[in-house]
Amino acid sequence: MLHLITTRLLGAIPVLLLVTLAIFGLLRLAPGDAADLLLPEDATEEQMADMREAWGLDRPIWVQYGQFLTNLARFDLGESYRYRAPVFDLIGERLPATLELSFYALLLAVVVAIPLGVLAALNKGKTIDAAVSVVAVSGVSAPSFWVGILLVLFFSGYLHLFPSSGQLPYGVTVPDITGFVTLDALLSASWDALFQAFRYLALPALTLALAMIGIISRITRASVIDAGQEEHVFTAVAKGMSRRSIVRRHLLPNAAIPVVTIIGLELGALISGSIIVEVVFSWPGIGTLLFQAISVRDMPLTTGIVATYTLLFIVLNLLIDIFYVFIDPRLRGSKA
Amino acid sequence: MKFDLLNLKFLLGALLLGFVLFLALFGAWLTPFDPNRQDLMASLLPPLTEGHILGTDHLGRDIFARMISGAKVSLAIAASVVLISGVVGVLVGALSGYLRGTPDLVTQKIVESFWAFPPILLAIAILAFFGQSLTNVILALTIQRWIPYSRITRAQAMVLRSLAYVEASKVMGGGLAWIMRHHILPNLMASAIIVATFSMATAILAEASLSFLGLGVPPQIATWGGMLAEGRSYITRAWWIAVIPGLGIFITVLALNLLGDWLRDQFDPKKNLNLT
Repeated sequence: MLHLITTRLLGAIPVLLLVTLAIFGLLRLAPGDAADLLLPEDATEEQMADMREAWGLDRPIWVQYGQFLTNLARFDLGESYRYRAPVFDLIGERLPATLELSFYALLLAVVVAIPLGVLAALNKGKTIDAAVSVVAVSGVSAPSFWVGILLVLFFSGYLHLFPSSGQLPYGVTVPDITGFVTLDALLSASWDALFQAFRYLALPALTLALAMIGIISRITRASVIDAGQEEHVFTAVAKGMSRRSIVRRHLLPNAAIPVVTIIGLELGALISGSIIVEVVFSWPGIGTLLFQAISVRDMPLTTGIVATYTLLFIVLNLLIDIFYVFIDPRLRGSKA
Repeated sequence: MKFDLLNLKFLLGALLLGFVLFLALFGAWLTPFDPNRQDLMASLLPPLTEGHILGTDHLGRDIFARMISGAKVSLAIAASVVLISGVVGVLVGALSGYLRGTPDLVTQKIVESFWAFPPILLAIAILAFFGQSLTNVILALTIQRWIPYSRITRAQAMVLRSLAYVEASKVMGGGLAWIMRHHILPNLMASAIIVATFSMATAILAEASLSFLGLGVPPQIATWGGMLAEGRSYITRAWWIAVIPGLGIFITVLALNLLGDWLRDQFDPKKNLNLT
């Protein structure tokens, strides 16, 4: 098992190198360098040249790439043009909010979608199955920014049940222990803050979860139906095993693998979806930060956030790969 | 092959898509308003007032007219993206699956690296760094989208290359281009069309997301995503500015997803097994 994990980790290195090369390439190929962007329009050629020398932009491209990689390895992503602060710190401050939102959204999606999928599969061809299909296809077809706005209109504007933006109400704070608001509130036993934090999480997490619910419930349904056609299931039925036990012992374990696969594949959608949902709900995560960075052409910050998201995506995929080994005993002996 | 045309997915999907296509093509004749003409005296009018079927936005522009021009932009961008990525993806997949060896290894590494970026993010990066234009939006959306085609067609080409009639053709001196054209590519069309239908749906969503983030086509062109972004600030006073464009996106994407589902069912070998 350790062998498998190390293989996967080593396999990620060339991909990471290519990814950094791509980000670096984008940054260098893009029209206008730091000198154009930072200096006023009436700067002399000499000032521009000085600036380029100071930023190392006059050196050969491979030296620049080497420098970029060294800095990256030291977690030095440069300084934001706008905030005049290290990019790494800015991202560090905002990342917990993004991770927290994504975590609750994924949790909500899994908790809703898997029972829905199982329910649809066990009632294949009946009304309930059709209803789940309608929910699923609508969920994947509705753009998340639109769903977010509809939810705000209904739950905030009409029912006044949930707030429409931000992470905590004005004046409510939690001690910064881990950076994750719900966890910090729990650790410091601030129950009111915890309650507020969940109220603020409700709509963005639901918006982000809806698209995933569609896909996960569909795959769960298909895999439970597939698993139900195995001979060991017929045997279990024949020997009079209860329906409940069959579902739990024969169907769910076998359906789990494709479901985990699809959750893994959905992580990309979760990440890109979170950028949009953060913008819709002014969630103080790195998605909103990216949006702000792009609108003022803050290139170091933009690059840093793109790199962070990509790294996050690669790490999550690795975790999913490793998780497979735990749920699928057949993989434990293999070295693939 | 018989297509089941009385299927609910097909009927609903075709009806909705037909409706959107009809409005995109002929809608401009159905309204006297210009999508970009501002009339501040008539701003934020609710639907069905003063001849504005869907109301007006904060600058008094007619929403129906803007929806139609947005439909054209959305569909044209998505169709170009699907066409370009489909041709590239199918060719890359077919060649690497048929040739195997070094070309296959190299393309697999390229596919893996493109896939290492979360979707949309690469598009966001490209548009942020290279600026917004129609060409850049199409490029940004195409850059990852050819991969699903290449994955599926590669797997199929790997099976096809060892079939007797393909080997026979090779033995009789059939060149690479001939075998591709007559034996490999025609067999890949069914799956390419299915991928294309779903890809069209996600392309429309992605284009709308980019426009919503202010990274789509230049802002003077009306798009559904852009209209929604503008309408967001007026949501409490004029819900229709944001809700209607979103509905347009939803209907179009839903129609394509339903048709994609239906097509997949039609080509599913298991379906025919059940019938016999």
